[in-house]
Order: sequence, then structure tokens, then C-alpha cells
Amino acid sequence: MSSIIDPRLEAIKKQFSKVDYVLLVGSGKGGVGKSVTAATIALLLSSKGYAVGLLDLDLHGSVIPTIFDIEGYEPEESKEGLVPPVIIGVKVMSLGLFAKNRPVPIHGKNKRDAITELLAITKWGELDFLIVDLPPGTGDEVIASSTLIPVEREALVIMTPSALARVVASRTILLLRDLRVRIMGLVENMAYMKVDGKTIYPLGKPVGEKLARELHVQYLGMLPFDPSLSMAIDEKNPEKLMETLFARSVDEIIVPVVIGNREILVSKS
Amino acid sequence: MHEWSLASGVVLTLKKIMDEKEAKGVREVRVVVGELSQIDKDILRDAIITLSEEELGSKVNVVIEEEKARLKCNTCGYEFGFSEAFEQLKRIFCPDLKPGEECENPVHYVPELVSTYIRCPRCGSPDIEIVAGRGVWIKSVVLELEEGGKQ
Ligand SMILES: [Zn+2]
Repeated sequence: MSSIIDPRLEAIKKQFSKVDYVLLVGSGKGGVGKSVTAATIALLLSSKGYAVGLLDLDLHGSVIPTIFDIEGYEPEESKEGLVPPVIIGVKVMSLGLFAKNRPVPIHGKNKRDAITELLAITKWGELDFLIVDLPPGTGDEVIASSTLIPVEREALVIMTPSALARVVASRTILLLRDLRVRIMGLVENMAYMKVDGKTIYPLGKPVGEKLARELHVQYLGMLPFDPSLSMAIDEKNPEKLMETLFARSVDEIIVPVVIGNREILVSKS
Repeated sequence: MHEWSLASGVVLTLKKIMDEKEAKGVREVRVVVGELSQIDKDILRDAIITLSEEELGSKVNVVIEEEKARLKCNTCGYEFGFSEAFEQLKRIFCPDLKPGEECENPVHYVPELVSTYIRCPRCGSPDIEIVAGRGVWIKSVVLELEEGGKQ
């Protein structure tokens, strides 16, 4: 027989064969704190003793290497594939590690190929959770990321309280649904601040709960606008990130749902 | 050495095809390697042979073809090959490369990222398209069928 067959698809199946559960973290647009949320979920799960991986597929807005201070990573190879660096217990792999902070001027089909390549050659081993930092929006990379991952996967969608974020978040939810990805929940980031005991809404009135109701997805709640968060990120200090009010909120409203959903999935299989 | 993960993908794909066609074995596989991926063809061949023995129970005859890389500038239309691209990669990743040494560079792992590192040699544009020679794929498979025939 003769036709062009892509051997990477079987390679991907093998690399994911011991991965229990995949959480895709997506957003309608950039700048809503998607990557930081994904990183925080991964760190919190790891601190609870789970085996956790974090995969950054945000080709154009890759910040995971900066958050984890691994921009100087040189690929480490093994017979089973590239070995992700382990930072505070989290196995981290990122397309950004190969782009080295340069712009990535690549087109649609090539984006899919780049993602396929990385999925095929990264050795995850046994993972309880793989958290995936999706590119924002509804482009080729989002479609590729969601369709290429051969494991039970759910999506968490992050938005900020604004009319614009609401429109694009709903587009993302609808696309993921069409791709047969279950929506685990919607979270509204940078939603509130406590000032002198009073709650203020720096970006405007929260709109997520209403949107979640309209789209029949679970509203997980609000994450705070937390100035100490950007300090922790500037210092490239993931441990400090975990001590922020933001991380405590992620631990309260997102992490228990992620753990619970994995347990349901694992008990079914 | 990510040659081994690609080889594993090839062998697992052969296994899948064998099962689908209810074949007894695989006689030969023809694998095309894009020049851009800078794959070590000997390692890839040996890895496919070793893994096919483990996974399929018999050695497979492996034929590796190389596809020359062709890159095209979407701005001025200039087409160029691997050597012009590699000159630029070398300047960034291994300016002191000695003959016979390997130049470790990210394009080896993710060939599509070539446009992150090189510019059109003629006009300097970063809008570079890969026309040919990117990754690794299976071009043909000769199966060993139950009655000893081949396909
Ligand atoms: Zn040009």
C-alpha cells in the first residue's frame, strides 16, 4: 500500500498512554491571565502530591518559560522522547522553549504541525494531570490542540469582566463544544479587589455568571485582581506565586473541581 | 535522539496497519525524512529495525529517503534550500561549528519553527513558507499477507 501516513499520531497516543486526565485552559482573548491560571493549577496539584505536567501551546503568547524561569532550557533527550524540565514537581514543556522569546511568524497548517511535533516527541510518563495552556481565541492552534490530544479532556475557560471578553469567551466555549471537549467551567479573573474591607470591581461588574447560565456551563466563580501576582511573576518565583491571594482562590474554586472530575473519570475507566 | 520517538511512531503505525489488514508481518517500510528536521537517518533506521523486532516480532526492511528542503519567501517569492537556511541557523546556534560536529538547534525538534530563526536571504522577510522537506512520514508499506502474498 502506498499513501502518505503520518507516524506522529501513533507516537502521540504512546506519549499520552499513561496520562489520566487533561485539562485545557482556554480563553477568548489574550491578557486575561490564562497562562498564570494554568501554571497555578499545575503547581497547586503538584503540592498536593499528584504527578502533574504543564504543556504550553500558546505559540505567540508563550509565558510559561518565563513564569518557571526555564528560558535557557536545552532539550534533554531520551529514547522515549524529550524529557520536560521539572520545576517544583511540575513537568513543564512549552513551544516557547524552542522559540526562545522570538516572534513566531508561522501559518495555520504549520502551527498544527508544530503542535503535532511537540506532542509526539515529549515524554510525559505517568501523569495524574496534564494542564494545557491553550492559545487564546478560536484559531487553528486551538483546534489542533483539542483534537490531537488522545486522552479524556475537559476545558476551563477564563474571562475577565467586560462585554468584549464575554463575547469572545462565548465563542471559545462554542468552538470547544463543537470539538467535543466538555466544558468543566467558566472562571472570571481579575474580577474583584478588597480595599479597606470593601469589595470593588476594578474592571466593571462581573458578567460571567450570567454568561455561564446562558451557555449551560458551570460558573466556578471569581478570581481576585491581585497586584502581588505580577510581583511573583516578575521575580520568576513560582513558590511565591503559590502564596498569593490569587493562588488561594484558584485552590478554593478551581482545584477541587479538577480533582473531583479526574476521580470520576478514573473510576469509570 | 528524538529519532527514537519518531521511530516508535513509525513502528506503532505499522502495527496498526498490520492489524487493520490482518497481515502476518511487514516486509518493508519506506520512510521519507525531510531535510529540515536534520534527523540522523542511521539512528532512525536502526531504531525502526530494533523496535519492529520488539513490537512486530520480526525485522522490517527499512528504506529511508530524504526529501530536500524547499523554502519560499511569501514576500518576494524567492525559493531556497536547506544550505541557505542552515547558514543562518549556524550563525545563531553554533557560530564555531567544526566539520563533522552537529549543530544543536530547535528546528531539529520542531521544523516549523524555521521561520522563527531565519529570514529570506534575498529580502529579509520573516514570512517564510516550508514547501517541502519538513518532517518524517511513511511513504509505503509492504505487508506480508496470510497466504504469503504481498501488498
Ligand atoms: Zn523575500
